Amino acid sequence: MFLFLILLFSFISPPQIFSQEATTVTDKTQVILDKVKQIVIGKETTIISNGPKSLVGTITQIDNNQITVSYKNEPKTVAVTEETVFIDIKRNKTKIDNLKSGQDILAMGYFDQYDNFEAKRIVVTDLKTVENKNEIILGKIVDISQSSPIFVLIPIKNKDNQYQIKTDPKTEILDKDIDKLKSGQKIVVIIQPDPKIAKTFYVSKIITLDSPTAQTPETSTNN
Amino acid sequence: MIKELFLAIALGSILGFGVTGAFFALNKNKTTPKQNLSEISPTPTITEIQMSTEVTTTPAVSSTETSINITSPENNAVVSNSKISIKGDSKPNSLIVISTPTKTFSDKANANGIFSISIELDSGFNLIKINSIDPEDNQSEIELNLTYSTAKI
Repeated sequence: MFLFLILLFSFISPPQIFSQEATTVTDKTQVILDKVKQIVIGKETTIISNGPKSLVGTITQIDNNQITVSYKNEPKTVAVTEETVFIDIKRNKTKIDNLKSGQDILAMGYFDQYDNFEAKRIVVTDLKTVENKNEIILGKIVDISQSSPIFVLIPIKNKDNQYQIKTDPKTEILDKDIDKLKSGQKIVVIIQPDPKIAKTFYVSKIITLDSPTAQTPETSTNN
Repeated sequence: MIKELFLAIALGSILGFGVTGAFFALNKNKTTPKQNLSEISPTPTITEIQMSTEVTTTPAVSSTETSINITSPENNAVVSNSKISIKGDSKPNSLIVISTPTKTFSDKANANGIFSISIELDSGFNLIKINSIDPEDNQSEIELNLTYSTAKI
């Protein structure tokens, strides 16, 4: 009987082994797929990495052949050579001696194999003028003013917040007329703070999400 | 003697099949949850949605937690043409909204989450915000720095 039981277990064991192998094969396939994906992405990055790159930031230090800039509290070092071209804010050629700490610069050049950045061209710029103040918010309209072109939007994922949003004739709306916006409607807005009115935002574009055509919006610009 | 032998075989068989049955039942219970997990994972549960909500309410810049990935062009690239395509992947059928400092572009990722959207850059440095909004209303944002310059670099 003991022998019989052993025989029975020996028949039972193989399926368990097969199921473990199946799991292992699936895991291995996933690992291989991930590796292939990494290789493909890696190759693409390598190809693109050969192109010119740019660094922006505010000058914090200038040495003989090196400028240190800070962007979003992250310091970066830019190496300069005799070939580096310097352009001032009025788009005239200038020299490294005319650069000062506190100035914003856009450096264009290449990273070497040791990840050092060597600038071929440095342009003095004003980072405030190139700032992207746009905010992209997904939310629901909760109130529409009848007397002024203003509506109130509450973000879908942060209901504690609310935005008072102002439209104007330049506001672009995909798929619908502005007059047809309704309370409860789910929309995506691209907004910027209104410099004149506190806590009010100007909307440059509205994408409605609850109409069938809004599911396939076409590429478009708001300017 | 023969009667006892048959009785022993019968009892042994019953015991054996009993053990076998119990073994298979246990195995089935162990494997079933695994299968369920893999089936459930593409469609997030309420808990998963709540977890992703926590991530997306404070959009991280270039964070690995975002569900959007840009494959081309590379961050900080200098391009010599103002019109370029932003290529990447996100969750399937997500709405992709790309904002430069002066313009906005939008399109939809395909069923595999792949997208390619043509945009127009301003001259000089462009801080680009790329948002992905999936069909479950989860929003992710990443930033991409691109410079448009026709100067010889």
